[in-house]
Amino acid sequence: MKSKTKSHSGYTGSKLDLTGFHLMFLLFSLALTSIIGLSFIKIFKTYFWEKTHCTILSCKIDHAYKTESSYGIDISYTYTFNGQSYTSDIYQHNYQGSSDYTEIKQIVDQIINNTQVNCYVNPECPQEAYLTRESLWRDGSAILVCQIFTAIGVGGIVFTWRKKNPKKNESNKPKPKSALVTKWYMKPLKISSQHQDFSLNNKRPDSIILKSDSSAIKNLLGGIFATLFWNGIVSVFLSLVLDSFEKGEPNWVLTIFIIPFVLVGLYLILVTFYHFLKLFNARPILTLTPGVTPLGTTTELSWTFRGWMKFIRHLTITLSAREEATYDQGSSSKTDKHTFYEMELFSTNITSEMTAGKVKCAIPQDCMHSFQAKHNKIIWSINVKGNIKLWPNISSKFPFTVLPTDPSDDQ
Amino acid sequence: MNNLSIEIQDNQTAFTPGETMQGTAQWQLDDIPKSVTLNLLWYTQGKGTEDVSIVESIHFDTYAPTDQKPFSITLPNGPYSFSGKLLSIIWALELIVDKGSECHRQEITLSPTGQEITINTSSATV
Repeated sequence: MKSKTKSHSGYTGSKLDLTGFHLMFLLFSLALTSIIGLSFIKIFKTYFWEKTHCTILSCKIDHAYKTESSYGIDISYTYTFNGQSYTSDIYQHNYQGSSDYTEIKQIVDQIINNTQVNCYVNPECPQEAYLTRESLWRDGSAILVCQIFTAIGVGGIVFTWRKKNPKKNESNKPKPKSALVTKWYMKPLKISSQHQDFSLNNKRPDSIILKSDSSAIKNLLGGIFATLFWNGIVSVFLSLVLDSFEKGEPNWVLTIFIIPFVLVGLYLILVTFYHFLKLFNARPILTLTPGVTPLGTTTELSWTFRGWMKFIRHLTITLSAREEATYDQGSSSKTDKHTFYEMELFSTNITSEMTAGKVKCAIPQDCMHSFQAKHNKIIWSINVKGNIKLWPNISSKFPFTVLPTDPSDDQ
Repeated sequence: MNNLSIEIQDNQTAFTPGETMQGTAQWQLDDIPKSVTLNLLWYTQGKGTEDVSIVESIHFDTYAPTDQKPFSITLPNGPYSFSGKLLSIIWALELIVDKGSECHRQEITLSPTGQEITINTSSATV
């Protein structure tokens, strides 16, 4: 028996790729945390400033505060600190104003009508005073959201490098055969769960309706979820960027950092829209008769479509078999696919021939039957492809089981 | 010095689905074994994480450090021995003493032709 070993030289390379990918998240998060953190600290410090009585000199609505469409508070007040008198015109640190006139009017009226007004004075620099303190909530929550990126970055790097390369270990030190066997032997329940029924004596259905391996609705819902999740997070930082532009003090560092993340968000929106359009495609319904197909037999494939067929330009139906191997790569698992058999069963440009039909489907004798284990699979499928101009194409795979050759056929 | 071996009748290593395999499991051990088991199993090799399935186990009742026991196993219909681009399926018999402290493995082929199925032998038109 020949031994079969596969090369895994790309393992370290893929680790570096993953590290680079996660490092991007980490750097992005650290940069954002630093920027927002500085602002947070500045606001936080004001909570230790001294509350001092002040006298309002003037207070009115600023009708063109920062931008022409926003209202602000034009204020001037005087206060005494450590025996010295000071004047300030700052209502609140980093105050953005509001486009809501009523809101600003209420604040101004409240200040004018209040006889006991206090301001907050910086004890280290008494010239600096604010009438109100900014809430910590906005910057605080933005920092917390940043930590999602930090967790993805740090977690990804840690998992990438913590996970040992089993193949590498195997090749580096000679291992007694018993070690491998012990591993199998010690987990009998897990092993037995991988049994696949190759019995040919089970009930054989006359026909079977094949089920597609993908669902348009599931793809759409997945797209919506991913889009909302990603863009929800990115929008927090996007609002900070837009705020900085509105104030006339653009934050270029944050703007440049956020561009790739916004582009990913736009891509997700496009993908979701693509899946939405696919919902309106005609859906193929395939039936195999007989319903059990051992190697070397011929079965009849019949098809119909549910939905609008008018715009399909070309329809192709193929029989194919592929290998699938799933393996761990860093912190995630990856599946490689390789099609080793493909036979065109039907192809047409004529719409009337597309809507329904039948074709003989011969399963080759000297090929490999269907196989399904936890990480390795051989999948036989009927593939339907329909080309539609200026619209997402129909592309569905319908897996079915090809059994080993029936030994009774030889007798 | 521990010595384990599996002798299959007529030194046959290729079998067809449903065929009965007969042979003898032998062992020479320094100590009395607590358990001796013969497993028929298949496992995968290749790019994917390894999958293993024990199809049949025979537990030998023995308290002798040196012994031999005949066995007879009817092979299942599948999976066939296979060698592809991403994965291979390999059948083997394994004689295990004391849950893996000692073992011996003998690979076999299971397929209708007596040779493992390869992608090259299939009538692929990729």
